Amino acid sequence: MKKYGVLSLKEYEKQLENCVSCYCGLCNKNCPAYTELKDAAVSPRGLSEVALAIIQGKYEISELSNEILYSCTGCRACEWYCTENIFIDVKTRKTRVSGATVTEILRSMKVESGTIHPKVRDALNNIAKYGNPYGGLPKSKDDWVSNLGIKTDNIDTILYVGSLVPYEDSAKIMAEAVIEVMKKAQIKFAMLGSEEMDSGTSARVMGEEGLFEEMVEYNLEVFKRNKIKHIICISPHDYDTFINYYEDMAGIEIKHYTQILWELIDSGRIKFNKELNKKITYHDSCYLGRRNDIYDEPRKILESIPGIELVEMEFSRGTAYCCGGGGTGLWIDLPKVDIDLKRADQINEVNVQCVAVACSICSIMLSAAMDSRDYDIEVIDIAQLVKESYC
Amino acid sequence: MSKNLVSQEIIDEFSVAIGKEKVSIDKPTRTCYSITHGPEFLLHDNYFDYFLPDAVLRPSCAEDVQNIVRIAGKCEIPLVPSGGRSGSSGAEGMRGGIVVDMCRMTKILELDEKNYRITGEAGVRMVDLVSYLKKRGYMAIDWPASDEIATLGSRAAINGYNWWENRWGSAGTIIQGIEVVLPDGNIVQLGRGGNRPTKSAIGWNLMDLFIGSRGTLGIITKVTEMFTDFPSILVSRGAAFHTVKEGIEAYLDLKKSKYSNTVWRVVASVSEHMSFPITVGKSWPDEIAMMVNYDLYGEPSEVEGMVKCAQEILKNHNGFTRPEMSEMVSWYSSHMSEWKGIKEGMNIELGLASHLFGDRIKTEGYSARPVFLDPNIPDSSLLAYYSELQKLLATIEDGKTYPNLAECVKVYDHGAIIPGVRGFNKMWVVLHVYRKSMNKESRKEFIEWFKKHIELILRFGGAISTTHGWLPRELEVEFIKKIMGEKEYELMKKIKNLIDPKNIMNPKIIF
Repeated sequence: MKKYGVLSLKEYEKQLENCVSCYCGLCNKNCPAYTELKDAAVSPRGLSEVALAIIQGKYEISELSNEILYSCTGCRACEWYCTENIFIDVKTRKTRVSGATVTEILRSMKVESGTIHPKVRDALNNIAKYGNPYGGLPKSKDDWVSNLGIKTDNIDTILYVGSLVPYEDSAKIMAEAVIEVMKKAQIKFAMLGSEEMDSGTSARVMGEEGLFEEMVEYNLEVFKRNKIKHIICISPHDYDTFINYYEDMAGIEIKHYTQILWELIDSGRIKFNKELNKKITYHDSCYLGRRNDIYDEPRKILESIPGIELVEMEFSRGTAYCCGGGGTGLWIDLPKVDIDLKRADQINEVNVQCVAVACSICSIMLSAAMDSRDYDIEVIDIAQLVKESYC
Repeated sequence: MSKNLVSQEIIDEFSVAIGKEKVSIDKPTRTCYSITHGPEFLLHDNYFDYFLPDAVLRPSCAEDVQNIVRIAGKCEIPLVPSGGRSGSSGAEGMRGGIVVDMCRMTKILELDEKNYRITGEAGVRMVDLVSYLKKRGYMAIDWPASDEIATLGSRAAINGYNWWENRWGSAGTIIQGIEVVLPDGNIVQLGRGGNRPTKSAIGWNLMDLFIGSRGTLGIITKVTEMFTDFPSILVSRGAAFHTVKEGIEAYLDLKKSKYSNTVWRVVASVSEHMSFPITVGKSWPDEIAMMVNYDLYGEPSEVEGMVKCAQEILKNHNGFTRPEMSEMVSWYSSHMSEWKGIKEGMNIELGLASHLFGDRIKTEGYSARPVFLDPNIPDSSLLAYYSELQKLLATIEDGKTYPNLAECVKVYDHGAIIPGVRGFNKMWVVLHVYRKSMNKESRKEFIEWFKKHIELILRFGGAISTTHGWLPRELEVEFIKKIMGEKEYELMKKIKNLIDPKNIMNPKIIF
């Protein structure tokens, strides 16, 4: 079987050396794990030193705590600030210095060692058995697609809703908004129903390389069998996985739904007819922004909706603070890690009625954070805003 | 080698005193404290074991620090206070010792707007302090290049270099008060202003004993700094010079004390030779020997007046600009002078090290490590020293004087000059060290070269600095004595013995 995106510590040793050789610590600035825990071992530079020590045989993977293994959200803020990544275009995971990449490797070593966090194990079992980490029944996905009246075959463009839909409420609402807008704009697309399984993103971040490879093989076969040429992703996490981990998508064009919506707005196919009169800020998804440079389309969509006043947070675009849901954040609730609350505070600082998101995981995390903080700020997906003004 | 010297019983005692969750003895966590951004580890092949502490403690309040110090004193366990560990000053851990990481003491405690004072716990990051003040219309004036990670406590402990030193002085000048937990566990409040004398002969200025003491006398838990109103405008300009002599003379005229209210920063630099080809994709013209840039801050009328004056000064020393230089000048101004943040400042300097020397830019392989030397040189001997320095730097790369060193060290910056304490200047010399090639022979040659480097500094009336420079630990006692004098060093030792008779406070350095 082909190994997709698998990276060993040994293969990554140069970047570990480069980090340790400098050890400036600028990567710590907006690292959510370090900011929360104030533990040098979860900081990006600390992870490099830890990983290098493992290579040198100073200790075993089994000696790493859950905090070290699972605090990283994969937001890649460390890469953004890292001096070693300045100036040169090191795009591959193998050549960029990154705490997130170190964590991915350590997690896969942990899985290989056979001892994994129980919640990770449960989620992985669900993915293997049902194709989604929630353990949702495939039939319910078929029923959901059928009720929406979406075709499941004979169209080369699919809307890839991901494995959170329809099992998680806010993700389902978000997907339905995208579907309604695309239907009204007369975009021809199909959905795969239960044939669509997790892209592998969940398995990947949990360190289950073998399962990830199985998902990749499965999905590529499904795409080939259905003669898919274009995939529109709802989730930035799936988008990121297809773009950065599949390695060979056989010519299939991958887009995030915000890119599609902006194209429709820009070409005049979507014309808004209702003013929303809302002061809004936009929370950049790490997997869309920092990981894939999609910063402008979501903002252009928001700015084009009548009545929306878009304000920026202090930490936005490349410096945006994570919601806390990336990596294994949705599955493992580590004590003293309240990344979402800090982001909620940053949102609250700009005095808005709404925070727009383009990722269902961000939506889940930030909604919970707003409730915890008792902030009267609505967390709403961009597609829902478009729908409200357009449909 | 891996066995801990601090017993489990002592660790348990710390856990009871400050809480188990603030105590780490696992090896992976301790690993991260065996290294800092300082270059000392380059001289140790086995740095990992050499600097590995036995435990890491993370106090969350001054009372925790008192408890830690009392137990450590009783058991005679060395303590190494740690801030952001972005400096060059000896925050590496030590075998048989305990690192006290102040990172959880992050509260900003008081903003005194009427008296322009801000007080925070020792672990407050400078970037958070800057942001806190900026949101309220004020400007932090103690602004280090590593603001993203440097902390208030470590600014005091190392008397940190400050970006606006020409106007405001070093961190030690800006700091107005500190709270220190002494080795006996008692807390003292020291400083200027408030209930401490601002201008008085009532008592000694004890605070300055702790400024720059690098954790050897106590653990700083609270710091009060001055700040200022946000200036209305910033103007950054510069000019080129055909000779170093003209450039340095123009620089010295610009930093004169009569202009320093407005001239917050001046830099005389040759580093563009290396950096501009990469950053703006153009070669630096060969006939330009030096570039002098300056930042003017203040209200419009005074800044506008100073712009004219500054341009006149540069012109008097044959400074010039040309249309094709504008991109380079504006790049410098926007990236290095306006100080937008770390992305455009320290990152660039450190990032360049990765690419200019080492294989990273060509093969995405190993990068080099920048090592800052930063001696303090008086105005009066600046030009003469600069000339001699170039000869000494040339010996690193000539391949004959230090054949092993030449294989792994290159000179990146031959001496950008920036103002330090009035009458003195930091000679910002940067070496790029290719760590993977370092071996016993090259390390030995490095020490030999370093001795010559210090002797040269002393010959010209200067001093080595670990504020932003570095003094290898094995040379520390020898050269502190030479820099300070034998009697003065003995006085330091007496004071150290009085305050810390068991020598538990960062004992691996200075003494």
